[in-house]
Amino acid sequence: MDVVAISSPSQFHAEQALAAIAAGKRGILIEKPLAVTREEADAIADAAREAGTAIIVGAMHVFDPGWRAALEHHAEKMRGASFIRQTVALPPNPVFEDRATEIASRGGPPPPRDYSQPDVRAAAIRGGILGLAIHDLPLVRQLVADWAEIEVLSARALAPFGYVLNMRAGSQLIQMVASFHRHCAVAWSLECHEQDGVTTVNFTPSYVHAGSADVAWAGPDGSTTIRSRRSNGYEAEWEHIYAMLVNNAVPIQSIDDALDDFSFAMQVADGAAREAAKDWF
Amino acid sequence: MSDATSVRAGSAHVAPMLAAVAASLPISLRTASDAAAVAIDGGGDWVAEALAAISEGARGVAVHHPCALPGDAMEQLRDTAHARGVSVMLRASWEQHPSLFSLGDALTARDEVNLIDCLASGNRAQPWSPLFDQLLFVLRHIGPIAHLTCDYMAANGHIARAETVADRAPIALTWAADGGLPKLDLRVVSRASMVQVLVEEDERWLPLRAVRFDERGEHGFAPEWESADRAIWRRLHKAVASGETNLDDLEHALHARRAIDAMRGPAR
Repeated sequence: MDVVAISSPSQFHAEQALAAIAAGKRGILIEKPLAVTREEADAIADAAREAGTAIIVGAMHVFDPGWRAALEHHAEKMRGASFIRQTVALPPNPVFEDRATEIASRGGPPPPRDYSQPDVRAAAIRGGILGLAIHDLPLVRQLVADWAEIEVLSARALAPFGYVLNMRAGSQLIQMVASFHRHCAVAWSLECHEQDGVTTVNFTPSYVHAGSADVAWAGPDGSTTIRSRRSNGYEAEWEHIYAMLVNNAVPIQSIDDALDDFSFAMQVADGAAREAAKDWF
Repeated sequence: MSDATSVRAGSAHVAPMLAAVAASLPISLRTASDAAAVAIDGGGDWVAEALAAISEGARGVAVHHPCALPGDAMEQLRDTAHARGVSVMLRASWEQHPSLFSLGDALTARDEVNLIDCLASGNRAQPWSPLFDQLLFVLRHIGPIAHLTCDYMAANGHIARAETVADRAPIALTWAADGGLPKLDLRVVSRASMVQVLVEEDERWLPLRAVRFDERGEHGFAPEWESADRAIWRRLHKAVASGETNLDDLEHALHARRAIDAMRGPAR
C-alpha cells in the first residue's frame, strides 16, 4: 500500500499521519483540518519533509477543476477583489451521503443546542468553520494578500447549523454565510467582487459526483462562463496524488501551503468563536 | 380616476425618465408646466425641492433615487405634505420593483427564520446610499427593524446587521462594491423554506427572479414585465386622482434614517 487516507476525527490525525509516515507510506490524504494544534501540524510537516512523503489535506475545493480553471483565467481579477463572499445553503449531509454511498447505520440526530449559552455558540461556530468553511478558507487565503492579518468583525452561529462570519484583512472584506435546512435549495458559491465585475465559482454539493464547479464572470458589458468539468474535487485529489507519486507533478498544495491554510483556519475559528460568544447586539 | 394626472419634471436629470413614462401611460399621465405631480431628482436636497413643489400647488411628488437626508428635514416634509393632503412617493433602488408587490405574503409569512440575508452589490457613488436603499427595501417588504449595527463601511462595501422587531430574526445587510449594476439578492432562510428574491436593474422593464424553496420543491413566482419608474407613477396617479394622501414611503425613509442615526459600530 503506497497511500493512506486519514478520515478519522481530527484529534487522531497527527498520531495516524506520523505513524503512516514512519511506516514508509509515499502519500497521505488527511481530511481537513490537518491537525488540532499548530504543534501537531508542524510535527506532521517536519516528518513528511524528512521522509519525502506527499501530503494532501482534503479540502476538496482546493483541487476542484472548476476552481483551478478560475485561477487560470481570472486569478488577477480575483486577487484584486475588494469583497469576497462564500454562500452555502444545503440540506443535511445525509441527503447527499445516501446518494454517494450506503451508510450501514447512523446515530440519532444531535440534541438541540442551547444557543443562549455563549460557550455553546462558540463551539457551534468553531465546528462550522473547521467542518464546512474550511473547504473554502484555503481559497480565500489565496485571494487575500494580508491573510495573516485576518480580523473577525462579528460572527453568529445559526441554528440548527450554520454561521454568518464577517471579516476583513487589510482593505479586503470577507463574508461567509452558511445554513443547513430541510428545504431543497442547494447553493455553494464563492464570489469575488472587484472593480470591473464579479467572478462567481459555483460548486456542486459534497459527496455526490456531480462534476466540478462552474465559473462565471460578469462585468458591466457582458459575461463569460467556464463550464463544469467532469471530475469534482474529491476525484481531483486522488488524481493529483497519483500524478505527484507517479509523474512527479508539482504539488498544487505544498506542505508550507498546508501549514498556512491550517494557521489561517485556526485564526478564523478562534476569532469567530470569540465573537460568537458575544451577544449579536 | 379617469382624468389624466398632469406631470412635470423638477429637473433635467429626471426629465427623460418622466417623458418616457408619461408617453407609455397616455391615459393616466400628461405633461404640463403647471402640473399636479412633480418628479424630483433625489440626489440633492430633494426635501427642499419637494417643499417648493408643494408650495407651488403640487398634489403629488415622486422622488427618484432619494439620498438619506436628515430626519428633521424629512419630518418637515411629511408634516407639510400631510397638512396639504399631498402624496410623496420615493422611487428608491430595488424596493419599488413592481414584481415585489405580486409576491403576496411570501416574504412576511414565514416559519422560524434563521437569517434574512440581504446582499447588495454594484457600483454606487455615495457610500451611504446602498445601506439606505437596503433599509427601505427591508422596511417595506420584511418589516420594522431594530439594533442596526455596522461592522465596516468604506468605498469597497459595508457589513451591517440588525434584527426584525416582529420575531427578532437576524438580518445581514451587506454591500459588496463592484463594477456591475446595482443588484440586490435577498434570502429569507428558514428551517423548512427559503424565499430568494433577486432584483437586478429595475429601470428596464425586466422581471425579478423570485423563488420559494420548500421540502417538496421550488416555486417560481410569475414574472412581471414592468419598470419601477412606471409602477411608481401609476401609484402616484392613483393617489392624486383619488385625493388620497400617501406618505408610506416617507415614513419608511424616516425610519431608515433614524436607524442609521442610531446605528452602532466603529464605522459610523
